[in-house]
Amino acid sequence: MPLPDDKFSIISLRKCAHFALFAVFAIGIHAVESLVTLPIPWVRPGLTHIVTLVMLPFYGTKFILGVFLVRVFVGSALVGKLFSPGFLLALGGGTAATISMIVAWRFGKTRLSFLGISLIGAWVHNLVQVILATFIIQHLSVLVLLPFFLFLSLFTGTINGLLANKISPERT
Amino acid sequence: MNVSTSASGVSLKKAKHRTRFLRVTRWDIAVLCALATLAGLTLFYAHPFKSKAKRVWISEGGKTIGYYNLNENREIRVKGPLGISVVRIYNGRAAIVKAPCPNKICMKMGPIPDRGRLMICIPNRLVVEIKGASKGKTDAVTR
Repeated sequence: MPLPDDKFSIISLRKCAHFALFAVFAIGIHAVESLVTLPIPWVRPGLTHIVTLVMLPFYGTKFILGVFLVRVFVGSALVGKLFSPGFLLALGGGTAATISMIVAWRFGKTRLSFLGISLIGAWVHNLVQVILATFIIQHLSVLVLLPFFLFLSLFTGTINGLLANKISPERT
Repeated sequence: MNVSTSASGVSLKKAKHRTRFLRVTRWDIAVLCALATLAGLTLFYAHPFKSKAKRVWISEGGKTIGYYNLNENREIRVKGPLGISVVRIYNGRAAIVKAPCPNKICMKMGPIPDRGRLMICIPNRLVVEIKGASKGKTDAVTR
């Protein structure tokens, strides 16, 4: 039986609460992740995508993209990188990654576990980021970094995917 | 009865779970291999940019004499107000090897290898600058 608010409001209160909860999860991970300094700039494990992965079985495209956008804007503002070039990269790459993961879930959920979906997401994320960086710097030599980032995405994607497999209650 | 079947069902599921490490499926491995292959392919495509030709720009009295490939060994003679200066390009470096001026500062600079480096011979109004792709230098930093 649905809660009373499900009947009367356009957006249910429950969904609102879920949205806020997942957004806070993602923002928290984003903030903590930005504090960890890795030896190479630009490189982050992208742990926030675990939140996206875990949401995939339960929510629709708009909901997941919404959580992602809120996460990027609020998270970057918290860390103090809002509208910096790095933020543009995160926004572009993250949007592409989120969409690709939703598509991968839709077509491959019977076969792939979160590992495969995470790998696709990480790969697309880094691909789009490098291409965007090429446009921002306006020099083709940035593409030299492409193989490095693509191979790196395999590592981070594997880590995220296995963690999501471990965390998510949903069996795929 | 009902309880026992559900209990056995759970244990079966658990046993099935244990055989696979963290639910990894065969298709996951296939995706991993496919993406690794694609990443490997980009290695070939991205490679030519690495050795993108650096060019030597030579000008005399504000006029461009020409652009020369830094990877081709050659000598260029440039006529200035004092006489002929000789710029030699060899092994990916450029150097002024002969200058008609009294101080020969440009000759003492030795060969220049990198983008943005330049040699100037003021008496003979000669400028030699390397343009094009850089190596080991930062164009921009985004964080």
